[in-house]
Amino acid sequence: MKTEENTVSHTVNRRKRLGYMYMIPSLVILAVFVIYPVIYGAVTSLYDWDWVAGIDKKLFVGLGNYLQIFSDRLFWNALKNTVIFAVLSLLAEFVLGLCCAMLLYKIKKGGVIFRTVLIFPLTISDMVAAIMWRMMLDPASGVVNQMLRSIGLKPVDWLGNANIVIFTLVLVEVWWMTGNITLIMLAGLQSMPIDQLECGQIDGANSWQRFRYLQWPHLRSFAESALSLRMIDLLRVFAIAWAVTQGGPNRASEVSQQYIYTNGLGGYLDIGYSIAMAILFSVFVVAIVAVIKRIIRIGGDNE
Amino acid sequence: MKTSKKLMALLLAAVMIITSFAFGTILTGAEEAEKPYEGQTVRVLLNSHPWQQAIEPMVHEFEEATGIKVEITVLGEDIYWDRVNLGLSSAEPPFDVFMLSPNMTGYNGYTNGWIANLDDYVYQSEEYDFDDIYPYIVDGFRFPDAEGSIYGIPLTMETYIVFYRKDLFEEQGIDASALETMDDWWAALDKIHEAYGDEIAPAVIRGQDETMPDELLAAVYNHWGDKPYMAQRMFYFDEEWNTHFLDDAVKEGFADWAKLLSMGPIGATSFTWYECVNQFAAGNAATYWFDASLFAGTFEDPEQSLVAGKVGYTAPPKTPTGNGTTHWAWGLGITEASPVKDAAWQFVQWGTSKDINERTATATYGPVRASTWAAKSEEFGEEYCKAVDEALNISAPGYMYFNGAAEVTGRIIDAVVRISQGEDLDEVMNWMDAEAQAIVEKEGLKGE
Repeated sequence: MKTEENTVSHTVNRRKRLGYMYMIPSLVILAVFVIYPVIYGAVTSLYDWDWVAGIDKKLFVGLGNYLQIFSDRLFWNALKNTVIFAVLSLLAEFVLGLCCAMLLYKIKKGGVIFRTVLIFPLTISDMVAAIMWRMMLDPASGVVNQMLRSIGLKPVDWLGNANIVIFTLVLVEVWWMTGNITLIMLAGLQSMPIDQLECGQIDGANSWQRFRYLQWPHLRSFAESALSLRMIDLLRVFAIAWAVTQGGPNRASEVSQQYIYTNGLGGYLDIGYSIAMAILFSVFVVAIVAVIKRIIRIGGDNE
Repeated sequence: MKTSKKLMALLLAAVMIITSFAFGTILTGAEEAEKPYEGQTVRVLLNSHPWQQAIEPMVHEFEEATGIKVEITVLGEDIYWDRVNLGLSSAEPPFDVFMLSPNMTGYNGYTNGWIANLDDYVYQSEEYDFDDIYPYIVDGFRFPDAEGSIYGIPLTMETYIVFYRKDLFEEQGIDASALETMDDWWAALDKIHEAYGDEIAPAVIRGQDETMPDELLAAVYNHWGDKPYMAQRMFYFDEEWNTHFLDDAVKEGFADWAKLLSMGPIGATSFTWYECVNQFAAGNAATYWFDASLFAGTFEDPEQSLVAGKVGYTAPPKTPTGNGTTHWAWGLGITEASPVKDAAWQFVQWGTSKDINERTATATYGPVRASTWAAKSEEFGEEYCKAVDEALNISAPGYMYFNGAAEVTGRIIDAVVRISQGEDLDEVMNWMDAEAQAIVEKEGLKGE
């Protein structure tokens, strides 16, 4: 008996060990490409390392860089712009994306064509989308204003009016990425057993009731993934702001990543400070996503 | 007899073989001396620019003459500087030769020892005639230290002038040659606005463009008069790093720029030089202010411009303190870490030679050699040459570099945009002055 038990535990142990061994290659890669850079970045953020003053001049300042962020008006301005942009885009993309998914789920013919049209922008890189829209929205010679003029409307200063620019960026983003949410939600709809819906129909539930009480509970986990993934992406916005408005006018559309980049390799070469901002910003992104997940879960628990 | 004939023939053959070998050796030896860098590869990083477009089809001549292989990478200006900075700061830069300007990149490169000193190269060849390149343009590419070592060789230059539509001015009965002062021009622009309304904007000028503060120096210098200033800090900071954004000349310069910006076509606030050039070339603006003389090349090319033959040129008009403008240049530099520095110099020397400077002049409209200007004056047209000559006579190098300069220029763009959108000049300039003060204090420059 005893020997048998020993053999069993021995095999289990061996399997466990083998399991750990299989993990080694990916752990090594993770350590080299993720863990080391993160630690290096965290350490560097404690230094005043300004390449303009000399790449070999690295001065330890402790939390000095982090304290500086709190009085940096431009950092908070960029963060404010980023949050406004992300929240507006997320709402618009989610509502539009969900509607498109419902429609695509319903239609019987031509679904492939509509799906292709919706997915097409996803295949374009952010920089290409941004440059394309910058040309189309060019206030003087862009096609959008030419269309407005041709139907007798006044041209709009899409890129130079401080009150409009954020909406301009939202417009570009929504055009570019709505298909992403559509795809996830459509997958959610299609994965739901059809008989539940049919039962609902037989029981006399109208289409709103069917959506609210049958489809939505099933879709919630899909919505959670879609919203969290999109929020992370939206908060990290860079190319669209950088190429469409360059953050202007007067920083009305400057976003966090852009400001961090300008302070670092993209301009001032103040490496320590820009890394400190990047770290603080990552913490902020994680916190926001946690809040979103919480909100969706609370919404679910209440039912 | 027969044997001696045979012997003679043999001897002759031997002599011939030996001489041909010897001759051959001499020949290949000479070839080697002419092509000492044969087989080496020089990697060249260029900014998308008229000079780059002109030079690329000629590179094979250099390759054939020297046996050096040239690998060219071209990038748009919006990402060019980032790549250069990133490349220079790495241990093994991915390029040997690169285009540079007298800006922060040069200053950083100098401070960190990333860019090669070219002092020992420039007088290597007499034929090259380095002194033929205008010395005041070369001066922009000297390290800001006592020796003033050269780190770049100019290849094109630009000075900031005013472009106007001769046909529109004539149509409105305005004699442009009689417009002497800034006030004369303001009146003329009002008249143009009344005549053409929204159809043709009175003026176009750079807006939200990270290079705008370079040109703005010209507008400020136009009001500066002959007061002294520090070369690399320009008009904004003195020896003790006190800020001078509340100086009348600085305020007037900012105000002029903002006023011209507000006269632009819809969306002018967001214009970079690229949109400005397009708008003027498409005939949507009557004047184009304080911008690079070399754009004349685009405007006079009927394939790129609807206003070819209709453009007039002038140096900036007079203000109560006289007038002034600035100039700027592009050059070629070599990375300090390059494994093929000598071959790289061969390319730089060729690219800035008399021959190439003249052959690229039509594309750049801004050659840097006295000999080229002499040869091209007829092609460029009298009015253009006169305007450039006048401008260079009142011009100062417009180069601002110090630790923190990039941050200051970022704030300058904010200030100009705010004034152009109707905010109070004094209020904005007070803000600007305080911001600049904070930046130099943060950088630890004050009390250095």
